[in-house]
Amino acid sequence: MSKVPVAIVECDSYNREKVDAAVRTAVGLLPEFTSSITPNMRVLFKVNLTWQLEDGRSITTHPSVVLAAARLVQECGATVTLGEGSGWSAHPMWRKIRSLMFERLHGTMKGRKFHELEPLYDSLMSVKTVSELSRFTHPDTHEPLVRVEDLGIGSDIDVFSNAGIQDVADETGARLAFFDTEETVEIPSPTARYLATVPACKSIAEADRIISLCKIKTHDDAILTGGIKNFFGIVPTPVRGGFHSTSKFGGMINEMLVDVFSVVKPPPMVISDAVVAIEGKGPIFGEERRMNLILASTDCVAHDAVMCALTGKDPMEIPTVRLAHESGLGQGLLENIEVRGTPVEKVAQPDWKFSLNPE
Amino acid sequence: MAASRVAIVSVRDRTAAAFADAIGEGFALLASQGEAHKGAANVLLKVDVRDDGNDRPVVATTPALVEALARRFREAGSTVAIGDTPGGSGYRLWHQIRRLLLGKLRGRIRGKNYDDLMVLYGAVQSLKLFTELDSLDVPDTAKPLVLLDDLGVESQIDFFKGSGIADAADACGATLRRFDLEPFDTVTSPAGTFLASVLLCRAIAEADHILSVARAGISAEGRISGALANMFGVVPTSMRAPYERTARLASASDEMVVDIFAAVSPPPFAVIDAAGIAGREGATDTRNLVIMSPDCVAADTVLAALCHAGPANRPLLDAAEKAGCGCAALDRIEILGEPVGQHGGPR
Repeated sequence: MSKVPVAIVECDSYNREKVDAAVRTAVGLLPEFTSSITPNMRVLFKVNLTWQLEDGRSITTHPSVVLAAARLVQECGATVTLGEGSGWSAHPMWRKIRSLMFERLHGTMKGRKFHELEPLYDSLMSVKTVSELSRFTHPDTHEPLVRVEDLGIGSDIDVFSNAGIQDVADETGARLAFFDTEETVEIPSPTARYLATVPACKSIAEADRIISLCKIKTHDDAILTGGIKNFFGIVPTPVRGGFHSTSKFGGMINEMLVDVFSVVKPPPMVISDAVVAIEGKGPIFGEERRMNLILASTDCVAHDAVMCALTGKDPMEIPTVRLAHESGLGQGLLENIEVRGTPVEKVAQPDWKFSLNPE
Repeated sequence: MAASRVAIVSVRDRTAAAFADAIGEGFALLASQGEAHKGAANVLLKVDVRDDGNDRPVVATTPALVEALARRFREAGSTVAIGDTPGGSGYRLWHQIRRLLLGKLRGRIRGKNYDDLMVLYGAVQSLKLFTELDSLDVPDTAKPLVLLDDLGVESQIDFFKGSGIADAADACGATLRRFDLEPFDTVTSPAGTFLASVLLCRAIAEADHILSVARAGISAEGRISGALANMFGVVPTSMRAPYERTARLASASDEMVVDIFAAVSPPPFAVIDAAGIAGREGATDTRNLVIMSPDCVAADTVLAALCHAGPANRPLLDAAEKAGCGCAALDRIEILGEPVGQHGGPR
């Protein structure tokens, strides 16, 4: 059996030229990466824009990495979409949707009493996906109470502009997709340990090729987050909240994450930003850790296994890697992985700090 | 039937002694209408603590007025409770409870899938009352999962301390009641225009004399907050948003407030702290007044006149009068003490 390749390339800054060179080198070490992208393909990059911080810590995929990856794919003749569903912008958006729904119904239920309206209240408060909005229409006009277009947002999403991704889109002509504003598609999970089906953004269903543009970080529940966990963002934010909370108290959070990952088809490829990683109380509150690396692979599970090796962890100790490997979603065993470029032992930092409460 | 009386009294400064003199004068002016509390064993002062959502009480009934009132009733032999739960604190408390519950549930139900757990998760999320905490059906789990002691409530919900009300209670031997921590009773509203029944905190049922000790305020839209609106705080925090939002759907926001007020028995006595009227963006209009009446509707009507508040308040006041809660016509109210004309209008 041939080994699964993962490329590691050193890159000591976010200087555009250096990152561009590193990304090209990494992908160049993986001929199957670019050969799988053909002209006119629709390629979706799932960027990691977890949250926006004012302290300047680098917790999101750096725009220079996104820029380099987008250009590379565009050179293959493909169209590029940069997508994310970060709670940073989604929470305010959903608050606005609920407020608008109530506002537009003001005064339309005259004469009704609380006990008659309470079910409607609960129903309006429980809307979690854009697809559900069509269920709620104005009693007089029968028009939907709220359309996404009413929100005054298109690609103008705070998290994209704050994280520098809007600039990348402007520069490359890439489309931006804020997943929470999209219709969702219910996709059966092949693994289904926790979730029988996953409501995923339409961009996922429509893409011909999907690339996880992740950031390497510690994670308080999953220990490490890389190519696999990044795909949790394809689930609308309010649904994600329920998935997270319930799976956490059921001790099934990693099973849930792998179920979400399992619906991403075709199996996604990955380019990761490990120039500055996050250790300690990640994914948001940790400290920056310089790894000075760009990684790439056609196999997210293999990528995450190498990420484990680089941070001093056995991949089989990381539940998302182990579960994805056991489910046949990728290669999680280091002995079956071929590292191309810089050897792991040369750049590994096995003294990473983890501050975790994993299941 | 005797006209509703409202006393407007000046307070010379913000000390408890000055407020004691002012309310003494107010009760004297009201004469027999001010004596409903005589012989009351349990007196509840429903004070008005508001916060900005960041655990900081930003507006509250002046603590010295609360102290003066509580002391007066204590000296008359009553047991005095001072109570409220501002919305911000209530929401934080419930957030904390739900997090604690989910944390305690974590791992106890290992291996169940999303559909199974969503039922339990939904039950946790929909909890509205403390008394529901031990109704959660959690397999193989000792009940109750969360006790009030787990919450460190004293430190977590210190709105009384932050607002100075705790010191006022200490100074005169009154007890503090955080309504959200208590059981709630379902009470039929005699008005019942929008809410057929209302959940009221247990402190209401236990009191035989209730005072709405409101902090006077006026919104940017010219709506006053006084004795009537203050009683909205006796319903659970978790029900306030459902009540408010559905009432707006039915154009029945004023009727909703009246339904809650009407359910409170005995009818509250109004003591409106108008030492400073809380206005827009935190500004305070100094008036150095206290408005007192056994008729909360009349007291609010006078407050609206003092503020030259305009027609925005008529629907609430008229709905209250229609429900038999009091008098909303200024020309049918006997105003005692300071004349409205001397103090009326925006400053």
